[in-house]
Amino acid sequence: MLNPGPKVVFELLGLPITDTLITSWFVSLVILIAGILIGRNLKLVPGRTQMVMELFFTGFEGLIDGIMPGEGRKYMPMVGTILLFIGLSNLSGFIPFVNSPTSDINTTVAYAGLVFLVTHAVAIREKGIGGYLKSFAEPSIIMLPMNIIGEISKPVSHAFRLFGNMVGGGILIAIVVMLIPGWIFPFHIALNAWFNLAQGLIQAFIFAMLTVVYISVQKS
Amino acid sequence: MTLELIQAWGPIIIKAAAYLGAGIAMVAGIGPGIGEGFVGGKAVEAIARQPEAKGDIYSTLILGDAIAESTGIYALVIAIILIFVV
Repeated sequence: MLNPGPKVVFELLGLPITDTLITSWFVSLVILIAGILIGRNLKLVPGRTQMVMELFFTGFEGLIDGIMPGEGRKYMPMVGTILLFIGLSNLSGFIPFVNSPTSDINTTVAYAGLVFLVTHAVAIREKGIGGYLKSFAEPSIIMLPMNIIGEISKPVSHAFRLFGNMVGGGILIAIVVMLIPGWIFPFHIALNAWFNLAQGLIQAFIFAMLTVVYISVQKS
Repeated sequence: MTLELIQAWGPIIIKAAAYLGAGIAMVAGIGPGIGEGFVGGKAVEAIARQPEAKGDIYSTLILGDAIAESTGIYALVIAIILIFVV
C-alpha cells in the first residue's frame, strides 16, 4: 500500500524529524548560499547570474505593482522569498525518492499561516485597530459571522490548494509507476516532469500571487 | 446477522464504504472542469480581441484557474483522507 505522507527519519529531543523537513532544510540552505554568493559582489554592469536575478526581481516587482500600485518594492522581499522557497521545494520533488516539502500539509499550513498573519498585520496598520474591527461588520452587522468564516477559510484554501496539487500529482505518479512496467520509463519521466516541474512552478506562482491579492484586498 | 459476523465484517465494510465515498467525493471534479473551461475560453476570446494584452490576460487566467480549482482540491483532500486515513 503506498503511503503519500511524510516519513519519520529519526527523532531529535523527542521531536520527529521527517524526510520532508530535511528536504526543506536543504532548500533553505540552497537559497541562503545562492543569495550570499550572488549578493556578495554586485556590479553596476551585471554579469550573467546577476542579470538573471535582476530580471526575476524586477519582473515580479512589476507584477506586484500591477495589483498594488507603488508597493512592489515594499512587499517583494517577502513574496519573492515565498516564491523562491515554494518553487524550489516543488522542483525538488522531481528528484527520484525525494518527498517534496510542499506535499506535506505541515509546510503549506505554516506558509499559509504566515501569510494570514502578515495580511492582518497590514490591515491593522493601514486602518487602525478600530477600523480593522469595523471592517468585519461591513456592509452591516448581520454579515459579521460570514466575514469571520470568510477570513478563516482563506488560509485553509491557500494551504490545501498547494498541498492538494502537489500530493495529488505524487499519488498519480505512484499509481502510474505501479501500473506501467518500468521499461517504459520515458513516460514516467514525462509525467514526473509535468506534475513536478510545470505544475510546481505554476503552483508556486499562484501561491505568491494569491499572497499579493490577499494583502491588497485587506488594504482597500 | 449474528454478532460474530458483524465483528468480522465490520472493518471490511467500513474500508469499502471509505473507498466508495472517496470515489463519490471526486464527482466534485465536474465543477472545476466546467469553471476552468469557462476561464480558458474567455481568455482565448480576450486574447483574440486584444493580442497586445496577452501577458496581463495570461496571469489573470492562471489566478482564475487557481480559484476555480479550489472546490476540486477540497474534494481531493477529502478523498485522500478517506483512502489513506480511514
